[in-house]
Amino acid sequence: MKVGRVFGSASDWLLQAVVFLAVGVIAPAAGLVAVWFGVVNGLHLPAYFAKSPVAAWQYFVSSPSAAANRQVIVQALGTTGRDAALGFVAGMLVGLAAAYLTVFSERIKAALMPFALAARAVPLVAMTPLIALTFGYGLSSVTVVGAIVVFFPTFVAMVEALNAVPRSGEELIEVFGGTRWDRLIKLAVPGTVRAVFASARIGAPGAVIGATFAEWLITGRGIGYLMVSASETSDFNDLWASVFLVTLLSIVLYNLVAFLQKATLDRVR
Amino acid sequence: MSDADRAEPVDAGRRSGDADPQRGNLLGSIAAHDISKTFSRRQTVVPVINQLSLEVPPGQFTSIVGPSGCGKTTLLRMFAGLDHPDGGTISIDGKSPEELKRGHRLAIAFQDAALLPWRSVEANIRLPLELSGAARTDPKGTAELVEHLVTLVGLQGFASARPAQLSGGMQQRTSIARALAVEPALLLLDEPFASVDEITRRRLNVELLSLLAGRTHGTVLVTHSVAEALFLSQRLLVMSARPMRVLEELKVELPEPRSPDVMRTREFFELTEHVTATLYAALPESEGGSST
Repeated sequence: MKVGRVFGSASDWLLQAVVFLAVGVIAPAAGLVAVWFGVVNGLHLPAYFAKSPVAAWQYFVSSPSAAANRQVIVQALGTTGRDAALGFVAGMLVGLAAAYLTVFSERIKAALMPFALAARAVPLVAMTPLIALTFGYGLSSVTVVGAIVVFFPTFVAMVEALNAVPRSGEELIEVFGGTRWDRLIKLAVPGTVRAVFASARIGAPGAVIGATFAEWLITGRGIGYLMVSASETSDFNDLWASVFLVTLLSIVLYNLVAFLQKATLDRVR
Repeated sequence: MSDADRAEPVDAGRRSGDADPQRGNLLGSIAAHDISKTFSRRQTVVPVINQLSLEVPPGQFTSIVGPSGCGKTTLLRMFAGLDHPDGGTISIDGKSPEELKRGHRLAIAFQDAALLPWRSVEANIRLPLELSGAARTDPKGTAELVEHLVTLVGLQGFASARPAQLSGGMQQRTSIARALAVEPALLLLDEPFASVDEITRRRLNVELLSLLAGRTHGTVLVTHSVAEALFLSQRLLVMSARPMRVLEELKVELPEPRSPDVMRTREFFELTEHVTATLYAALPESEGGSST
């Protein structure tokens, strides 16, 4: 695996980035704006709370107080991005580590599965206050909530992928005197790279859900809280823009993972 | 089978001996005593191997032939330490298969080539050397050896190709080269040529013999093909259907070094007939009409 072939040249990357920006960001944003128009006009919603993209544009770009309006939502988006990133990284790390641990023993797999299922079965709404009490009202709780959302699909997809690694590969490494560690490094990890990317694609939007959830129920910051408070204070431009941005964030993150997979993995295979 | 061998007349007598002045210290003697193995399928217990004993002197190419499902692959997997007998003992050069595995003294090639799809041909061949630590302690020697093996199995120009880009025969060549990368005590071949076409199979058989020339380890091949077994082996174990027992142990005293011409000799023909008849006679009634 040559580094040059994996990462490509600078101009290659520039081209890829432009393609990503067009296909992965601008296109879905345009699509979302269209849906937004459709919902506001097609459903004949009361003009009182149904703010069209045009109204939002005025509110955030051309009105006298645009700068201040913008600052609120940009700051909230930044917070949510950070919160989602924390949950995503933690959930992926724990999910991958737990899945790869199962390479070492069947018993570990049997012991971890119930926890993985519990993380999914207990509603997040019910768990979140408990998490806040346990980990405090700060970033640790935000991270834990996001991680729980990301962990489950990652763990399940990875265990599935590990089961699909051919048995003959394991036997081969065993007969040639390889250790369990060799099995992990030379077989399990390279054999599941695709599943790691698939997990990340599912996990990224999940992390955004987890982040908004934690912001609403725990920290009172970010888009998750802005949506709730804007609804209560009738700042409907903020509300519509928040929904638009958080949806776009999810889609862009999903596309980003897909783009990274294409740019690295598919080049070497 | 070494170069020295070729220069001298074949000494048929040495085949049964432990020492070989031309090849030096021979490895891979097998002693199996009273090994038994049963498989449980739902409620029924199927005896696969029942108190089988056999001895193979070191440095031999031994083939195990028998009807499908007779347990010959199970026996090979026991030599590899991948399956374990319910009773009895197996020792290779006086050691257990586990000990040999830990010491990187076993090598294996499977029916499906079992190449790692994300590794190139050369990286697949290098795998056993990575597992034994040789690739780390002697990277230069490892690179040379891998290059040599790639050439030896005729895959020059394909060193950096991925398995998916290779034909079945080329995949098996890679698998054989990988098995030869380490210097094992015992080389185990589990029907490595069963899934390639007949012509390729013949060619791979001839290539295998030349690859093994001069090597001191023992080789055990499991195969369905009587002709392949006779052509390659110095010793043949003809097995019965389940529960498996040794119907006949045969010393194959065809002239060496073997060339494909040997397959056209009367001797070869008679041996093939004899082994086939032995196998056929031992088939259970229910399968009385089948081939092999």
